[in-house]
Amino acid sequence: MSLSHNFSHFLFKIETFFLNHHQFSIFVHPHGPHLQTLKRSNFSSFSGHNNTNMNGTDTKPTTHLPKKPKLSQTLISDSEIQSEFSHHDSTIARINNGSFGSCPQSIISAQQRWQLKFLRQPDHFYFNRLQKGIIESRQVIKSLVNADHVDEISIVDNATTAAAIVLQSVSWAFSQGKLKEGDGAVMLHYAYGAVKKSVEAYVTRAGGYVIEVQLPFPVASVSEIVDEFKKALERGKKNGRKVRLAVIDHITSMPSVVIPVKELVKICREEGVDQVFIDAAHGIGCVDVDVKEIGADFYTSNLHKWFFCPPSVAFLYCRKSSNVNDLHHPVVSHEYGNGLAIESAWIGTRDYSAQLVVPQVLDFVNRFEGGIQGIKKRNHDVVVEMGKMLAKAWGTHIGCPPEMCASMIMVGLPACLGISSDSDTLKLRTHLRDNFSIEVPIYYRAPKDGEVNLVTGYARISHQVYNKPSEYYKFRDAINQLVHDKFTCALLK
Amino acid sequence: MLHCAFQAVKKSIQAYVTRAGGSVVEVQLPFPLISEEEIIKEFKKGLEKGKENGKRIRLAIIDHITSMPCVLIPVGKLVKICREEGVDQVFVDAAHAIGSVKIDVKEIGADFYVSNLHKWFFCPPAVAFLHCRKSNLSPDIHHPVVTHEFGNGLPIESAWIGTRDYSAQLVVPSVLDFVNRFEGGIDGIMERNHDQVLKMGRMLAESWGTNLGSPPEMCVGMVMVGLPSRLKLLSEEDALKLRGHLRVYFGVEVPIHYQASKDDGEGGARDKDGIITGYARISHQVYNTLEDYEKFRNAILSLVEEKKVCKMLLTE
Repeated sequence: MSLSHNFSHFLFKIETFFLNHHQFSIFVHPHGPHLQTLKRSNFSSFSGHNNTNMNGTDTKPTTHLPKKPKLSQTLISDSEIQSEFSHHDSTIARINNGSFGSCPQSIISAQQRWQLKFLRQPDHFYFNRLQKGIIESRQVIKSLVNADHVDEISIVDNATTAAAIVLQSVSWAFSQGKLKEGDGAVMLHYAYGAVKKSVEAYVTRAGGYVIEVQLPFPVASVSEIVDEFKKALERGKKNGRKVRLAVIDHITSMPSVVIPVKELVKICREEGVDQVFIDAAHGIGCVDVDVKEIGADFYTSNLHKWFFCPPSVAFLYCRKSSNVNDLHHPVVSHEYGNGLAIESAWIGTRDYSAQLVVPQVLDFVNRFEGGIQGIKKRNHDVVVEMGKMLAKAWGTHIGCPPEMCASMIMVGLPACLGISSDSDTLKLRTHLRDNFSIEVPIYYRAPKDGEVNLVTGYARISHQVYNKPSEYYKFRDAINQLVHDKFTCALLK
Repeated sequence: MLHCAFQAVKKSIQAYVTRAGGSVVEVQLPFPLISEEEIIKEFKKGLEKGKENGKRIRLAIIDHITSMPCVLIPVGKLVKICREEGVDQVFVDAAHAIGSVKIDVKEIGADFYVSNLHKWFFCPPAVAFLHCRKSNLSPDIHHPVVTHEFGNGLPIESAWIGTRDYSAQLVVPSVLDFVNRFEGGIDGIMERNHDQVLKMGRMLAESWGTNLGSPPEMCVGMVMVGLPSRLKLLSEEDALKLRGHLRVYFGVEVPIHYQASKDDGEGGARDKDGIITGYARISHQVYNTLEDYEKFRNAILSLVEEKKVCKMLLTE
């Protein structure tokens, strides 16, 4: 690009910027005639607000992070969206964004640029680029979740790793005598399988006692959840035991329901639970996340599920407080003892590129109307609409009221399909994938005593920006076909 | 453990052994050294110290190739000594090993052996393997990141630690194809790296009037080359300064090691101006050319000529 081209581009950006901000600074790259194309992050406020670097000392000016895109900036078009996700297998009705998330092409490219930077001169990258990049990502996340301080935000691989970090600290507390044998942890019965195993590995194995909160499903209101939770806390406190840790999903995985975490955290505080850990694997980009308002001690969310990051990157928020256990990353490097955020930022030589693209992802979501808020709202509205459409077409129901869903919803499958076990759900899922090109997870809901002819299977459908109505019609028709053909899971041996 | 064990490993021992109530014995690695006998001697001393007052040694951690200073350790012999002296378990940290030196885990005989594949085996960052000899204790070894595979054995646990990019782990077969495009495969690469790095090391030592830190048979694809004492490399900070200065002002990327001289001046190597306290760890891999080392040679020569000392070097 020629200098003059850059300059007019620059002026155009200034003009559009004028329309949207009352206060601004113009930042011209100091290194010579090559004017950068101005992006959001260049509109720094030079009013003296400072970033803190990894050691808590001041560095460069803060990046202003507006949550909505500029009004007159061209929004991403439908065809651009399709192009961003053109690497998806187009033959598949991809209505399972919840399992592995999704990542647009422009972010994959950004990631590759980071990878090549490292490979080109890794020593220089390690000494001069990596730390700055990680802290920029942490700053973005801090703003997104309304944390007080960037120290509270650590970046880890995924929520599973975050769970291991929190639970390992509980294990240490047991072995150091801070917790007594029989002290308890409370978790939801629908807690994610990995988290349950982690609780077993780090709490049960260390002598702790685990209570599972039985949640009703299908569920009609949040009060059902609150009631069961209170009952479980009572059980935990029986015989003078203490509940040391509550592990609460923000959105359960299977069946998928939005849990009233703020209310549950409040109850935990009232009932004297030592610490609360929110597993919000699905949180950011799916449901509103305000860690201060929610008030938990620890909060983790994946960014690769609903926030368009490549696999994989998550954050672990740890509220600054004197009660917080000594948290450490299980992979110990020379940064041991410098705080979890610093420890997590260097766990040995590896590819940190997924963690470094977070600022670029913010740019991506801001190309959509309303930014991430707009995306969340539209995902919610469409998935509820599609869920109701399917339930009507199959004569079933959705598993919870719309206000307890985010971008996923549980839709009952016709009882005649004969889903009668967990292994049936896997077989049916495989059958749908192999024979109908539909990717959707299935949940088995065991009948309780006395219940007959119930819906025992639910599909967890999702909606993300790349989805089209035709994918849901394809699913509708596939199930109708199976019903018509008198298909039952018993046939799948 | 060796006193020059990798800093991350030392911290890991602090985090998991000391914190749990264990005590740690550090074995001094003599450097520069003449033969592996010096290492074996120190190691035996370390074991004795560990067994003082009826204490038990539960774990010996031995580098196959130390990082800084870089030396090939006779691990097979040390493992044998550990067995003779009743050490419960031996863990060999061979971060540099695969693609650097021949590995036979059965012959070495340790309980645990780990090596990175992204250092010398051309894999992308990052991938390593942990070999665990089958024993009664094997079921108790777990990946710290627990998933639904918990309890199914470490290889299965490690193969799924949640959603992440496993691609670096998946290209290993392609890497084997890559190394087999070279004459002699990985063995040929190792041999040529060793020969070349020694040749370059000697060339540098001769140009600077210094030495090599260890005999040829204790080097792999890396060698420690003494830096002129006139540079007055007298601390860790000096080493970092020199490294940064070389990167920014000369376009040379090489790690620098500060070797404190012993009080009595014995055992330290000397050049015509004094005791050699700084060593560069040069490496040779298939992509290197003679020019790389000449550039380094000339950089140091010009620093010496301009009477520069480390303390005054700029790194920006």
